[in-house]
Amino acid sequence: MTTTAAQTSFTSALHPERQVRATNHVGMILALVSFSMMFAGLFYSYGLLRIRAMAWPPPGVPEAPIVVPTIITVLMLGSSISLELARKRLREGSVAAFHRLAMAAIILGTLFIGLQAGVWVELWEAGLTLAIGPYASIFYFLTTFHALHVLAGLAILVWMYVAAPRAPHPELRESRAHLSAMFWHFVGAVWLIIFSLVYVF
Amino acid sequence: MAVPENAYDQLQAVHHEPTTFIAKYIWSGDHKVIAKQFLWGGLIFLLLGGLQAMFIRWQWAYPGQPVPVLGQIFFSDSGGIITPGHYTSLFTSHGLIMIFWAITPMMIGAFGNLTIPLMIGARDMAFPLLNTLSFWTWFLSGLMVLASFMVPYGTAAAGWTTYPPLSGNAGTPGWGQSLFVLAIFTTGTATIMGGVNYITTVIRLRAPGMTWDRIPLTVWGQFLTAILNVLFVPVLAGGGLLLLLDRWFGTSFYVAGALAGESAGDPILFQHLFWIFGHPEVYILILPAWGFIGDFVSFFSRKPAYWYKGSVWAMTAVSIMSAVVYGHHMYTTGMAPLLGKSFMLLTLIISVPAELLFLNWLHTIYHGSMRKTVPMMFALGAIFVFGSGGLTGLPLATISTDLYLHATMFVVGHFHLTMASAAFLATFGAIYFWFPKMFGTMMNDRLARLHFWFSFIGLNGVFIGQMIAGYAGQPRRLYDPFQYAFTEQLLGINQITSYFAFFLAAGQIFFVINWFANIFGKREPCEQNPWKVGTLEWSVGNPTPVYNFAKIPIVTCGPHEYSNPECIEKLGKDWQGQWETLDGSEPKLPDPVVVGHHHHEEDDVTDETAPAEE
Amino acid sequence: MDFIKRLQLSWTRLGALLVLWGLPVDVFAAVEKETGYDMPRDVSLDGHRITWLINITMWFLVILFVIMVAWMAIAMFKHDENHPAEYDHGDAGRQIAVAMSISAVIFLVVDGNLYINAMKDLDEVFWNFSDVEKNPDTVRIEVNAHQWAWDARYVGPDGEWNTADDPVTLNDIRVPVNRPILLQLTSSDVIHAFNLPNMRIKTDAVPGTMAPLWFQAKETGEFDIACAEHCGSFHYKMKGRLTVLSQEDYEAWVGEISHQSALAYNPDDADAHWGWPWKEL
Repeated sequence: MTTTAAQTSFTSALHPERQVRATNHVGMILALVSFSMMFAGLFYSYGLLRIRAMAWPPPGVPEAPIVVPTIITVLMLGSSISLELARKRLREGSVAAFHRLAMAAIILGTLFIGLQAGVWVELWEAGLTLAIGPYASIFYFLTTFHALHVLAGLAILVWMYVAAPRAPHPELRESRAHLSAMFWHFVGAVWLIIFSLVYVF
Repeated sequence: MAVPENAYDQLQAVHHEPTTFIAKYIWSGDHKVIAKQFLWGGLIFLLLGGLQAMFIRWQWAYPGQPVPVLGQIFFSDSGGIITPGHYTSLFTSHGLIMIFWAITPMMIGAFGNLTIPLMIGARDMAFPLLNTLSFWTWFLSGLMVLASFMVPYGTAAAGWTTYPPLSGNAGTPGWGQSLFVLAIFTTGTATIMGGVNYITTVIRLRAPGMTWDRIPLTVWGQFLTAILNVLFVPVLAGGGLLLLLDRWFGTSFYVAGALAGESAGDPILFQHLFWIFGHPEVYILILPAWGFIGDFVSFFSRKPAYWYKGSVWAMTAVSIMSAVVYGHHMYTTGMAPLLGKSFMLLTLIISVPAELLFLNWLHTIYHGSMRKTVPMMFALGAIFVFGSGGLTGLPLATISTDLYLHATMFVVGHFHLTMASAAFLATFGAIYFWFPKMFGTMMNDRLARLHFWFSFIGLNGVFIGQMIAGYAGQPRRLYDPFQYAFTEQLLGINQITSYFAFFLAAGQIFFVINWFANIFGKREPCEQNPWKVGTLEWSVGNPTPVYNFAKIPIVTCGPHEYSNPECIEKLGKDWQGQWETLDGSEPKLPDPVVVGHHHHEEDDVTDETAPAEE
Repeated sequence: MDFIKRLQLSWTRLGALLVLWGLPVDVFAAVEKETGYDMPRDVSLDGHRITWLINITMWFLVILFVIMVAWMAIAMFKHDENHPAEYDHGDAGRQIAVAMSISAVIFLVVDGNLYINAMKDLDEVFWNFSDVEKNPDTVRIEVNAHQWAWDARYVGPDGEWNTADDPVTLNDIRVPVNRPILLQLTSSDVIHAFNLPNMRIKTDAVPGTMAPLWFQAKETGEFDIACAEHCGSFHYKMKGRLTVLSQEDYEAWVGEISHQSALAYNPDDADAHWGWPWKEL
């Protein structure tokens, strides 16, 4: 049996932190793939229910707003951009700037949740209740499930705010921020899909 | 404890021996301990699931008659008689328990954990804490299952397939069904945690020289299973979550017909989500078994695994295709004909890589020097049942024949042969094979062979009997199958089948005795490599130290180097360990090559302990 | 509805049931029991295709099984520990070609036979509903499954579905011999499945959807209708009776049932109006 084959892991073996970082990244990617598959199943459900429905939305249902959801989409995008800038500043070594930008990302994410909750309340009071049927069910569930992931992401960002600058090695500092960012951007990407499916089309 | 010299050793911490009871047995982080936790847990649920199967078989052999002795304990509310309500819960929980709480923890939780790090030359999994959490999450799910039996209205009763609307509130009211679905969600989470861990470990922590074409087939089986788990368990989680929402919050994802409100959901949606998971799940439950079989037939024929790469490609092809064949469970739901026919074509095609894999096993044992050891007997038994059962999948894959065979005992016999029996036999083979690695002694050979024969004969008798009944048209899941003019005459074959089932159950006593006697009895430790095989786990001491390898090994060859004439001549034995060279020299570290860079002489590491600048 | 009317209704329904029992077919003749382990009697026009395909496939499988067992036996007993093992990785080009060829042959013969015949059978018969719809001889029946019985509805002399003159029966479907029978199935509660072993076919009855099924009987007699999807505790008892009659007997029966159903018709009973306008396929 031959013994060639790129041994990149061996090279990084000489730099243990890089090895650990790479391993954590693989783990996070796999976890995100898993979560994506769950959302994929839910989007599949949305598609099937919509195709099989006589009319979508069903008659008599209050119209979904577009202004506030667009605003919160922009907020999410802004939050992700802020986070990437934060990571860049951390790589350059300016922890104070990192903290400012990370806090901005957290605040924008929190605003997202708040405004999203507002949309729910407005729609519920306008008559979009679960008694309507699957249209209401999938709307509330997709957005709620996503919001739960936003909350988890906010918790991760708070952890990152505190723990990333405190990591013992620069590699690990960058890694903590990168892993957190991966999750946050994932949550943002899922939102873009939900926004398109539920509000736009 | 040896001082690690190899630069590779800096990567993986050398565990210290645990001192407290909690650190040793409860919250361990050591993959070998977690493996044992899963194995014990799985065996206990296997007993429960098996008991439920025996009750079902009793009811079919003696419909409406009180179950002797055990009836008073389990069905005391009806005088020991199994009622229709009991019966629906029995077959539901039998299926769910066997899949998620018996086979999965034993074959994947236990043997994935035990074999992966040891066979690839790692000290532990990539994420030991996640590993511990995975076990305790599974344990929590097991508690939920047990709790579901104790609530009013009883446990889940809508079949393991849990189709709504029967699994909704109107069809199966009460906490039992909900708890079980929640338990499935929870165990699914544990499985995903484990899957992420296994995949990362195989990708990142292989010892130097352990290239992808030198990994044992056991590890390939676990790796591919983990990928399928990570991809498809979440879809089940989604589908199950929507069901719980329907049950608890009045959503209408699956509500239709008279129960629907202003607009209806779609019960078939659940079937899609369920089977997108469900079909890969059957491969999840067989890939590790294929891995064990592939390795054992090589080890015990003293011969390389025939066309190793072909086997790997076949297992990979089956895994990839597993998601696109799921519709064959839904042929009779009124799906669009073109869709149905596509599923039929793909399902027929997926049989080809499976056939190829099977042929490779047959070629391996042919012209070998077969040692009929206990693990080999179990592997041969698994090949037999998998071959028989797999063949019967063909008329089920085909739509027109499935119009007759769907929902008959033919289906039940088919999947119990291919999935349950093959996984059962392969997993027990694995237990006997790796028992010395886990517990330091060998299991008793005679008891093991009795266990094998009772199990093999019993399994074949039961499931071939079921296929005969199914061919004659007996539908599945019937409390009293003999209500119809076309099934009344099948009481006899059902009774015979039940006797085989009781025979199977009786034979498990040999395993139980063997298991307890050798774990808890005073026994001499056996030699380090009793099976004389070359995979890495046999290169370390008995008992295995907590850190596995004092020095991370450097791998020199594949896992199936048996009867190499050069090896027989130079090493004086018919097997080459993956850590051994033929000329007796020290294995060399492979050249470090950085992807994307040109290889410069000055980049070669000559001094192993000094990190090179990059 | 006031008490007197309700009483009248019950008596009328009871009367209808009594009349049903007195009809020209001896309903106390039970369905003929099967003996042995063969498939149930096939009384359908096209079921033989399924029977043949299953049986020939089983023969192929038996042949492959025997080869497998023989191969394993040789390996176990002739190539045992006294036989020297061949150091052969099996990855030479020629060996790979042989392995792939064996797989291909099995696939093309067994799977190929299954595929070609199934496609033909589905397109010509089992999933060919448009020809049956167009056939003027076709008898149409709507079936509503529910826990734990089968409601069946015929169209009645006025040609409109879900009206007062629709013959409606419980667990009792009667059809004429030698004419295509086209069913539309649904359920009002959970998923059931309508299974006619003597016609070799079945289809699910799913709430909220309509699924079609068709067959043609070539013999008279009485046969079981079984439920083939777990639908609750009494799934095992969800037995119906399919009776195949001569044309004259069928017309007499369906006329009488239509008459009785019209008498028993209650415009306020929403559950009884489960029928739907026939969905053209």
